Amino acid sequence: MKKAFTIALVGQPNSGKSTLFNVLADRKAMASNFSGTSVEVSRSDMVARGRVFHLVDLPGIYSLNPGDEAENVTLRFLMEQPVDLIVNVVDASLLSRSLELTVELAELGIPMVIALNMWDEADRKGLRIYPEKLEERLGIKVRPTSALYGKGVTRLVETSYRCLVGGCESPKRLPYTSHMEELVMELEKRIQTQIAPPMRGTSRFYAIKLLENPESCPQPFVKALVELVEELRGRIQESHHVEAFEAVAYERHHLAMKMTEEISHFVDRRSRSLRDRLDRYLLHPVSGQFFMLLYMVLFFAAIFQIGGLLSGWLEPLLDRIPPLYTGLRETFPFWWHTLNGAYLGLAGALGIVLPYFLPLSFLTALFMDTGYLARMAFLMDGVMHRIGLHGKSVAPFIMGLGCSVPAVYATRIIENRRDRTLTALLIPFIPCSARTAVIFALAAAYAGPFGAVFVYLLVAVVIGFTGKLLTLFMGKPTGLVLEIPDLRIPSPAVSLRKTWTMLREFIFVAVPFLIAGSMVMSWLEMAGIDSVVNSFTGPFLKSVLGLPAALGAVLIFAFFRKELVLIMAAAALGAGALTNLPMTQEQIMVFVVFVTFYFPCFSTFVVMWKEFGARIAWASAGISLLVATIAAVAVRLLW
Amino acid sequence: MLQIDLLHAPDNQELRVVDIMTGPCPRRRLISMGIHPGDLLIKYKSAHWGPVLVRNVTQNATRIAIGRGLAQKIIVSP
Repeated sequence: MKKAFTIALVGQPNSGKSTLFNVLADRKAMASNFSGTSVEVSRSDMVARGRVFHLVDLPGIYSLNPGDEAENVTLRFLMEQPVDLIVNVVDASLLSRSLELTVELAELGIPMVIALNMWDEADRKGLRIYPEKLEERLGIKVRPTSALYGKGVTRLVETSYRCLVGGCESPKRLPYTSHMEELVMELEKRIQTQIAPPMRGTSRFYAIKLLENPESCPQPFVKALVELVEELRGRIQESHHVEAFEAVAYERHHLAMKMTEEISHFVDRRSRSLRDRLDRYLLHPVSGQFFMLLYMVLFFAAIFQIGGLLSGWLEPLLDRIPPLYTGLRETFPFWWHTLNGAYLGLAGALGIVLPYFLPLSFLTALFMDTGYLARMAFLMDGVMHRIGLHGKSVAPFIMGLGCSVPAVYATRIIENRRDRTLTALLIPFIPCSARTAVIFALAAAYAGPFGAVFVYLLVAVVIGFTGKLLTLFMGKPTGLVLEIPDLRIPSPAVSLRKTWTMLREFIFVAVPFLIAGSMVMSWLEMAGIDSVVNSFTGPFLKSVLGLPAALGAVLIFAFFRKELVLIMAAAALGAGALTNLPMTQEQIMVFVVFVTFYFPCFSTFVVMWKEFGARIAWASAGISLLVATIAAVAVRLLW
Repeated sequence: MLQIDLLHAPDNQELRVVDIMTGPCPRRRLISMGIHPGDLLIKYKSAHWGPVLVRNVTQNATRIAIGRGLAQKIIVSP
């Protein structure tokens, strides 16, 4: 068996790593035109010329000095995991800044290939780049690509293959200015013997890292050298009049600037592109806000319309199934319950959730690729500050409209622990696709479009209020620094592929779960166990929320998947269809509001625990339950 | 040489970064995102609320939004 090589994609945020990864691998990572959408390490296998390669997509980093959790993940991976080849994804349209990271990666001394991505974008900006000059300068292969349109990818794969199988060079040494270089070499000599596996990277890399940021190196290793390192850092500060970290950053900055000058030049600087002019309106404090509101209204109206249309097609088809097994009800009650449970699960999944899930996934994917999300973060920063957050929290919030789980992961792009925790605590309040289905199927169906709008307004109020309240305990937010990428035209093909990935997961993971859950409910009902649960929760539901006691078991089970609520509610209340639940409009609204807020679902709870620890996970659960009760009671009193 | 903080600096003209007077963490962040002392920035017209929008002209980079509090601590000269 031949060795399977590991290839790591490394680049700055928004340089197109995930898009490239998606093109290379069969599995799709979440990519978008927003800095830092990939906050987890995505892995996949790629086959080239009959050999398998492990492909790793690392979170985007501006430099190898971790400022946030996502950057820390990348640095640790490169220092500890056996990476055979780094594919450095460089945003060609932002050459000078991107090369600063390239210089830093070159110091690692791991074999490297450069993908000059967004080649078309650089071209449009009037920037002419000579890849062969960069090859010469760095001593490694450079390939122009345009991952979004799949251009140049085949050549990149070919080059990487040849590099791995035929042996490839590590990048050339890029010397710093003489004074700094002397210090680096002095330290390098001392540590040469101490760089032993499992540590990855050359002694030069660790020498530089020790000088600029000793905390990022393995601690036992630092301990042995601490005196020398402190002395050298002191010398740098004395001679450069800035901290060692900055002095090193300037060295890379100058190397990158010089390289950029050598390998590229502007052919024509176009005055103002259409996109720049568009941005003037999109980022304008008044017209920008107006456009954002309009956009959100259209976004949800489209989901509502398309969802209604799709469910109108699917429902008559699903309605044909129950008559097929009604005969069993008298003769084999157990089989009837089993089949009916399975049917209700299937009908709920395909008839209610899927119609809204599909347009939501596709439109979100399209939207993420345009780069508008960063503009929303910019526009919302002022408002978010009022509730104790900042603009960057907008990205996880928007992702939360799809599913809370990736949204909680996405909080990793927020540098400050306090801001990150607060954002994560608020995420479970954002209606995910499961709850969107509940809102549309119940609130909109029973109380008209206004019912759905009301729930979303309530969500906004609840988030604002809870955020404000939590700020009292958690202090003030830190400042925002956020890149606003250029607007891009999204590729429908890429969005369709992303939707397909999400759809596949829905069909193979969620649907079986829904069917099984619904079957279990049906058995419990047959055995009369649900009434035991209901007798416990009944008093609370009846007296506080004014809901039928039969919904108790439903709410407990919906903890696993909130889509289950719909199907089980219909089953528990003995209604054949959702359109004739024996509940008043007021009860429906109270129920929807309670379901929207009452508890993060099981998966969210687990992720919360993993990312923030038990305390925050339980705090989130407690806060949600409290908020749900207050909001539901408020609706009961006001509706 | 006139020096002013970025928040109050004039719009639509080149500004040279003189100093970043924030704490070490935001300073690192700004530097790694491509705002170094010595660089030329252009500040876009902005509202009286919300973050400040700048573009690094030296690096011909994308725009960066900087919160008002931080912008106040970045010293530039027109």
